[in-house]
Amino acid sequence: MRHVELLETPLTPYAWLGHFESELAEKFGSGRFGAAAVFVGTMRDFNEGESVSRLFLEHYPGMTEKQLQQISEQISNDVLHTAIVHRVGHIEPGQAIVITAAWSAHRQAAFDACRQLIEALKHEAPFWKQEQRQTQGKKKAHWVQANTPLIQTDH
Amino acid sequence: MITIKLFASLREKLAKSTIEFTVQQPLTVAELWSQAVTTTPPDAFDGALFCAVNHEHVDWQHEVSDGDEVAFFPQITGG
Repeated sequence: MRHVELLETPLTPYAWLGHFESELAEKFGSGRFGAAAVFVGTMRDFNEGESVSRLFLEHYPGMTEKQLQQISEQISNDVLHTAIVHRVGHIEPGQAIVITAAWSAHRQAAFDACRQLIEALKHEAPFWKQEQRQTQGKKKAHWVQANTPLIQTDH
Repeated sequence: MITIKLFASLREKLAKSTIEFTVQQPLTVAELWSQAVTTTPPDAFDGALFCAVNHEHVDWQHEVSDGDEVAFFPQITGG
């Protein structure tokens, strides 16, 4: 299964993962995978030395889902299941922004796939972050200019 | 008709989110930008701009024609 989901409401990552893994066991049978690797991205209350009180995540309806699906389909067939869940809309500090997860027979494939999903997502899926920053008592909206650099996944 | 969509800081700078543009013959994304969006060149904006056609990333020399959906946007920053 290659699962992709956009959420406009708050995401509770570990509850979501528990529920999803139960669904996998129901649909495909338990005992099929021996490893699960999970990445959870969470909103910070600071960025580039300034405090951030809120985040707005814009996306491109249609293209975002399509790109996430393509990223998921590039994952090796050694990986039984993957999931990408991404928030859109308004997000508060401490709330989860994204989950990438992979299930496979052994840990290497799961670790590699989980990292490949998040790195590809950050550079190919159309999302844009606008932060509400607070500087010297004044609030201002700030579009984030770039993501952190790509982490290589080929070794 | 080509539908053009603008996103994030680019949408705010140009104060529009969608443009409908009638074309008689195919043209490149770069030509579409200057004819339908703005005469300000894309490299004059703060930060690189990118484009997509029918939900796929393309370069600025990609050819578009009637019925296509073209998007322009700044660096993506999800995750």
